[in-house]
Amino acid sequence: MPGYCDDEPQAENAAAPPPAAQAPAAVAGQTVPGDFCKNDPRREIRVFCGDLTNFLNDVKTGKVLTIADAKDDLDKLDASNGKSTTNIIDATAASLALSAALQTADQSRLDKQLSSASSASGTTSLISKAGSADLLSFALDTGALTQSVNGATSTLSTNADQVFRLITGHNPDCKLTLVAGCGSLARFEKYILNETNIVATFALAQQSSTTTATSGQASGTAPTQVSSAAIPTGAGRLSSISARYEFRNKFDPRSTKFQTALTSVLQTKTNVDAVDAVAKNIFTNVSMLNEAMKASAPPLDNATRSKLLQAAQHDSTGTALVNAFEGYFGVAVAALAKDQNFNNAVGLVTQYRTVYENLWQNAINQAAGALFTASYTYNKPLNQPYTHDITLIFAHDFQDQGMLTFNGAVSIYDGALPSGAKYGRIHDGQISGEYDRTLTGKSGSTQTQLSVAGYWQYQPDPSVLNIPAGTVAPGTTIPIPNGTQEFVGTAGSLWVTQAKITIKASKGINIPLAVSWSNKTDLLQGSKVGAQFGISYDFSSLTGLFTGGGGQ
Amino acid sequence: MSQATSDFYGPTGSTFTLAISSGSLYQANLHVMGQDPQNDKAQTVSGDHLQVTVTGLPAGDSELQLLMGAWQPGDPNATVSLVPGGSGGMAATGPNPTIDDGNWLGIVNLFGT
Repeated sequence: MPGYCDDEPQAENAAAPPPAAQAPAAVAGQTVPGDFCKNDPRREIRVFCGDLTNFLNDVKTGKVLTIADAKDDLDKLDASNGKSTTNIIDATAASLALSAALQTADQSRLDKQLSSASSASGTTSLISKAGSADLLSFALDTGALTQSVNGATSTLSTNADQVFRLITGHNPDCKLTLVAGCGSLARFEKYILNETNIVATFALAQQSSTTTATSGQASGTAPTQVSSAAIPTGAGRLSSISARYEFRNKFDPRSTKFQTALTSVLQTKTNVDAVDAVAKNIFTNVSMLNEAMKASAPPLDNATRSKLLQAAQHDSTGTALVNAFEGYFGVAVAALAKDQNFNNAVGLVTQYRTVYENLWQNAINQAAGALFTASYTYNKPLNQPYTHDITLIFAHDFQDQGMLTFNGAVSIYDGALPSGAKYGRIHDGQISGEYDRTLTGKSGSTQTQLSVAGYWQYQPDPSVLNIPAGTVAPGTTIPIPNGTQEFVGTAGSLWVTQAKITIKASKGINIPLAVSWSNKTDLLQGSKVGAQFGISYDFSSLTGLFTGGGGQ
Repeated sequence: MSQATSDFYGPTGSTFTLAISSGSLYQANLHVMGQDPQNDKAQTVSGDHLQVTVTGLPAGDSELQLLMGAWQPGDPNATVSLVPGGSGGMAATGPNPTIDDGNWLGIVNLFGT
């Protein structure tokens, strides 16, 4: 989940110095900066710091002389008043970082890459997409595209920032702005973690194994020299691991060009429908939340308002105000915590707020445009040399008219080439493209998406097959002592075309069904018509399990 | 709540328009306090995402929920004010309410007399 919040660093640790020790000297009549409370060790003070600062400054500048003058300032500090809703959520939802991250999956997106790469033995994707799962996705695919061996793979995809937030509980108090960045780790999250996705693919039909030294021949009369053996260590084998990074265009949020692009993006039917749907959920749950706040929280009555005003008037550093507010708010939160309706509503509003923020961030990203996505994959095909695959991904979203994605890739062999190798460093180069369009149910819970793709791969040399040591030569009983490598298949062009229908069910379930044609495969000559089938689950949709909410 | 604790008040059934001075407004919802949220009513946003028209002020306490769009960097807090010309005699109880910059939600308390 991308953050787009105020760029001011905020201390999240409890070891921060007490507020009195860091409160700057303030002079009556001059405003105080928010520093006096934004690093307070108490979360609720940090969350309400902006409103406490506004109130203190209104008092110091003479704008507020009575509690009537300060009505709006004090309403925002009143836990029973809807005006404090956003701060109440931030102050009480720290434990809901998980649910905030596990927002409802955005099934309308066309740019999510959930299955394994085209070089896997089981895949439904001929090309790589620019986007990835927001939190975690799991995909099962069967049917090969460029490989000779049909197999089944499982693929785990995740976003580095979401995993970081999930593990650390880092959930800064964000603002909804056109510039990204939130909290003390804003730049690290924005430029590194948020744009990085990690994908691991496991070949399910292959065993993982380890090589160990043998300790002697166990039977037989003729001595056989076998010094090592491969021991199976488990079903399923890591066949590749990828890291992807999205490079985005820089943009000036105030420029006419960007504003025009953003307006255009926001007016697409997809976005209008998405905002309408999430707004309805937000409003329903905000209403429930505010009813619970009104019912359970003690109102900030006139006596307490006077106390806060006096504290602000008599201590220009704000320390007395903060402490007076803490006295009221502690009681209010304790009362709210006992209200199950409040707790449920906070969880649901947090969930839908995150969806809403993500809609905005996606719109901002679309308006700014992505330069490209770069992907690096360490590929470990069975019985073939390992490769490093580097892919550049370009995508253009035509909004309601679909999306075009282009890939350019090069695959090079890992490590030093064996002595006497009759092949070069480059395994292959690839160019591919895909068009995706949502066919039906754009605003419904179940959608269908059509994809057509083309793929061209050029190999300067035939594929290399590893013949491991100990393999018995065909027609003999003689094991090959040191192993060898053989060319298989042909050099030159490999073409693949694919048509695919993806059923996108509710709750993040995707079912791709595809047919493909290729002029050959990596190891075999002759054309091949194949079918691919898969199912993936986007764990972004698991919110209900953790919040008790039912999702959309 | 009451008339004194509301931000704007006026005769029940009034139609009026509120404007925000900065930020952008994308959806608005009117909730009558004490009633089922299923009875909430969407309100019309206009004026290039800067105005909302409330049609038929309910009796008693209600709140206008404003779903805000992304704010420009450096935008000030938004002041919510009555646009002259609506039906009925709507009035502000005190200083015009504000929405803090960067907030995704603004709340305006209303009271129908």
